[in-house]
Amino acid sequence: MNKNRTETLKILLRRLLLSLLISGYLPSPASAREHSQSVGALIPKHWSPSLDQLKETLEASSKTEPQPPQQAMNLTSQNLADIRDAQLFIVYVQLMQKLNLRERKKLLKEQILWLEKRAESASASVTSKGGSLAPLEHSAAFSEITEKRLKELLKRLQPAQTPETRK
Amino acid sequence: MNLTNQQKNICEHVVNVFETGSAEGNYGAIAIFPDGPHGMRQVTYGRSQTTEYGNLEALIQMYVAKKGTFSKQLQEYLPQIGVTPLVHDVAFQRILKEAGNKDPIMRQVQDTFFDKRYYQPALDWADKNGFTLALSALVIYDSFVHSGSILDFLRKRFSERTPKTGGNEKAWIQQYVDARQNWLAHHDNKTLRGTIYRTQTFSREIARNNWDLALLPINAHGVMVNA
Repeated sequence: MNKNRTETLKILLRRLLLSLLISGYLPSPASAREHSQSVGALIPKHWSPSLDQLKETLEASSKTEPQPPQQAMNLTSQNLADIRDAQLFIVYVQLMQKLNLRERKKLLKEQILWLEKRAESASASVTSKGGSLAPLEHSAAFSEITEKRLKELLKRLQPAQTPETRK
Repeated sequence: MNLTNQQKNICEHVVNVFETGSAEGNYGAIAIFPDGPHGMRQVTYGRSQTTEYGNLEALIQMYVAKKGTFSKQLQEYLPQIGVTPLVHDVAFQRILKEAGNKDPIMRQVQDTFFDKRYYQPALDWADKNGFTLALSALVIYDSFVHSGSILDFLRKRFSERTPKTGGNEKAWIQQYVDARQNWLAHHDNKTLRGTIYRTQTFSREIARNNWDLALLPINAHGVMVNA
């Protein structure tokens, strides 16, 4: 019950944050720098959650010999896929904060389409339909697609390098 | 295909080890994967794993009809399964887990259910294509559990015909195992490469000529299966 309520609250909070971002109630990049510590800031300064260590630990455990049974492999692979998805979500919100209203709307539309395509591609990668290998095929493809998108959004998040910053 | 009870038990126990790590299987196993309709998350349950938007309702109906210890509690969920998402329903998942771990009736129901879902279709396929040996049954059954069927694209990678169409049974099984091993071992997605212990087990049994599964124990991924 409590878990249900927590999940519902999380979903509501996520929707509220995104709608604030899109509607422009939260600061655009120009004003974000000026008001980064103001009431309207989306992400408090110095709050930068990291899932890297968790991801590395899981990746290392998935490579141990002997390989675990299928059900355990499926779970680990799905956990890794979920971590990558959460990392993507964090970078997406960070990127949204940097954009102006027009760019935010554009990114939201782009992300919705990308999410649909990811679901299609991950399903299409399953050759063992109805078998216990199917969840592993699905989560492995899901991770790979998400990883590519993560790199893409991280690249956009990094400030454009000037000749000075390149030094 | 006429298998003795011992041969059938060996097939089931070996595949249980591959799936769960134990010959008896894990009847209370629960996992959540985003492989439901439109990428929705769904509950996956049981020894050989059936899904919320697949056949979980049918399994629970069978269990409720058998009047198991948790039948009353699970009966209340029947109208919701496959209709309302239950991935966040902790109580539902706890009951499923307890039923699988504690109630012998749930175990019997799952044995019957997964027998119909995987074992019988595998044996029907084997019969239809002229296979008669117990090790062939094990290889075919494993392919049904792991990949849902005998994979057509793998059959195109080797030349031997099925016994029904004039081929040699042992040669076909050897070539199918090799094709599957080759597919998994060199899969683009490295995660899948870790599953080759299945085909390695079969190759070992073929090498020691264990076609009637009489040479025991069988080393299934480190677990010794006796019967």
